[in-house]
Amino acid sequence: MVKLTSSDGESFDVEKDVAERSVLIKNMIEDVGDDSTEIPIPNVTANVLKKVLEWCEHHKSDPAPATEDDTDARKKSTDIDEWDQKFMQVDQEMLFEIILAANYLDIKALLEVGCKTVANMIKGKTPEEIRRTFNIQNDFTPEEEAQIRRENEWAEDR
Amino acid sequence: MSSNTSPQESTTTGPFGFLLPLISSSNTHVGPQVPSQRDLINGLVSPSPTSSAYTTPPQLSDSPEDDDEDDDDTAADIDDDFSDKDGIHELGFSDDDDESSSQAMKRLRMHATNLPTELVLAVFSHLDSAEDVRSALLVCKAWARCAVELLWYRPNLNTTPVLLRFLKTLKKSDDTSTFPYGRFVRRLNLTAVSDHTSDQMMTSIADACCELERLTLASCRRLTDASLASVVRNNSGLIAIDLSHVELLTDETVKAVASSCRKLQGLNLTGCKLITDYSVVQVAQNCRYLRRLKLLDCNLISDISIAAIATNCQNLMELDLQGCTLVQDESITAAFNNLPVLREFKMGLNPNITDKAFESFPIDGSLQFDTLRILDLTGCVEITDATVFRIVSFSPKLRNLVLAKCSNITDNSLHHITKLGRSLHYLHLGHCSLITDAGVSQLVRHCTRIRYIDLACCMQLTNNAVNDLATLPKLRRVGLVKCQNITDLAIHALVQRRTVGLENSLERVHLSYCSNLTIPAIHDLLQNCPRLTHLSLTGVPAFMRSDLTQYCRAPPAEFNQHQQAVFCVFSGTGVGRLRQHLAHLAREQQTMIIRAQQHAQLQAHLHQQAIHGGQQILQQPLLAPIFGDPIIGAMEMADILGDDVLTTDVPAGSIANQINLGSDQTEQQEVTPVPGDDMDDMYEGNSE
Repeated sequence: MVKLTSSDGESFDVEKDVAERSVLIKNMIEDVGDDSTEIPIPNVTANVLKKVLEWCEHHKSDPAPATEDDTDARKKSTDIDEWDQKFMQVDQEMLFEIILAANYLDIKALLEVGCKTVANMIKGKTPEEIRRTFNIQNDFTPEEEAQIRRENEWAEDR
Repeated sequence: MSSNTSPQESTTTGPFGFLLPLISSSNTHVGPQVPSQRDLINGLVSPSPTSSAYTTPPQLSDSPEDDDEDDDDTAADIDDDFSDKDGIHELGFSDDDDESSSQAMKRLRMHATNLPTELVLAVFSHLDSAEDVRSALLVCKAWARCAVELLWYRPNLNTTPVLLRFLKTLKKSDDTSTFPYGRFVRRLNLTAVSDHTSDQMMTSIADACCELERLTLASCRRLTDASLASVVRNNSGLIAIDLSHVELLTDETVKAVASSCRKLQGLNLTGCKLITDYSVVQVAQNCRYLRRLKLLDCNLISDISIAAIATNCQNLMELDLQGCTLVQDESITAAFNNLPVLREFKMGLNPNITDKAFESFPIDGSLQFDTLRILDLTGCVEITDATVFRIVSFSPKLRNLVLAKCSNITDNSLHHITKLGRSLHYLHLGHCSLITDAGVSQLVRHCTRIRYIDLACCMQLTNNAVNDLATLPKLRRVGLVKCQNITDLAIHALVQRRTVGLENSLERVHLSYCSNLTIPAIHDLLQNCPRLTHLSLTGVPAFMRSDLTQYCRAPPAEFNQHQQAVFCVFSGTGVGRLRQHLAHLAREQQTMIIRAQQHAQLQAHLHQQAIHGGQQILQQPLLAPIFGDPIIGAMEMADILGDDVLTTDVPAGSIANQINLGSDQTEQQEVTPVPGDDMDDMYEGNSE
């Protein structure tokens, strides 16, 4: 077992192979050479860490990630397995927190699922629909927007 | 006005100041691109603490005209100022989305635009349509900066209008445009619009683009040195250039490649017939990282070039000298001896190549080129079994071997090739007409991993050879064009074979001019090979029928009238449609057979009744509904069956005569079903 401490001071006891889904934690354990020490996770709060560990638990026996050759095929598809889809049904704030945490903790597969989830929320939408989806303010002036739209117009044809 | 606006920034950076997100003081008009974003897109999303954390500029006014605080996010480059987003919850967002509006009520600690650039890029990298990336680009400035490089990195220029609009933006690049678009273009491929490319366009590209890494201009036939040389000079970071069939190209452009592109790894000059040793030698001397060089049909290239390549290009993995007819045996020997990592070597279509090229190599295995995987000797008509013996001795891991049109090759070569054992995946022996069933049998016993084999025009082969081929568990592609001895039995063997997976592994089957084949055999093949994506039946008389050829793909434009007339190749969805059509015909025909049989029985029964009067037979009530009220006369029945698909609407006779296949009408007649037993024969086995 490994003890992880979130940024807000909450401790989590997790199995080593669950925690080691995170390359960052894995390296830390290796560096320390002792599983019993407490590992601080200063960038992740308890509620996010809990969620991330839930994912790690479910995926603890996943096979090693595919080799680099497959990256193109993997990138192209935005298929997300069913469990992960359900897992990602959280509010946007949590979704982005998970992505940040996965990035910080270096959990490639989780980062990927998170990014795919966000990408799926963008797909097929107009810029205005995307802004509404993510509460993003349009900070272009009408002139700027018209120009940038014109300049990138060619990419409409598919 | 927003509280975050800093007036002096908006005045110093101008209307497009948001180009300069990370540069706090800059006098340049155009912001330099954010470094290393490309690397980030490519998957190097590291847990870096230096996120850029772009914020959405808080804004109270609804009037966008007032929005001139372009650069307020320049300061926000530290992680932990997420909390500094006062005001964002005050924004009046539309209430379409319950979740988002309830979130807006809270203080948004984590928000889409707070994601660090590298993560926004990681998200965008999952958008596979350019249109989605373009939509993301138009969302807000922070996202525009992320999406723009992705959108322009490898522009998809598949139609002329797209190309023209793309160029329109490029042409005014740098002066007044929002971004220095040209610099974002790393991979440019104009092959899809090759007919519409001109020197003028290429000059615009040369002016705008200076970061190209891959340039593909295959078949842009109108381009000349006038524009190409400057494109190459302005893009010294090029690592791959494809100029195949840019036929007007001369040494000038290739010389420019040699002097500018020191990082070059791939150069394709296929069909650039004007280039000479002069420029190729310079490429060999300067481009030390060259890994792939294709000089196919560059028939002014001689041993001088090959000597320079052999001396200088130690990293060369692929060399294509097909059709370089000035190249002599010595060059081939030198290439083998000097290029330590050569993986793929194509030297075919050169009648100068003889056994001499190989005779210095030992046959005892003391010299081995372990890296060699692909060797192509197509049309090296002089080479004999002795060369094949040496090849398999010095390249034990050879995977693909092409000996097509090496007409001296005999079964002895196949005996030698068995040495390659399970390494061999691909073997092309087309037009090696001395090959017999015995050679194939030996080959198949040892080289069990063959996936692709072509035996076109090996006219001595019979069904026995195909029976052996059918035992190859991984066979995916088999070429038997003009193996005229083979019959439906061979197809049956291919259908019945046992393969590794559950399905028959066959994907591409070439049976053109196998004139004995019949529709039922092909029907059988289609029903049992679900992965089939290509089936060629050109010149097979049984298939010269409009109801079947309608599913063919269009013949290549360069074919002459006669070739177009006999062309019969099914590919992609055409295979599926042919499969369905034949299945439909089979069902129809079976119904007819049953009817004919029942009719005959009924006739016999009626006849019997007439004789024996009054004696009822059990089947009669069952038969009645099938035939309905009027009992069809024997003549009419013959009409129905005679109208059968196999004959009537066939223009076969005329076409078959045209192609002079010796397609005897008698055979056609034999195929013609006669009501009764013949029909059963036709489809026997299909239903099993």
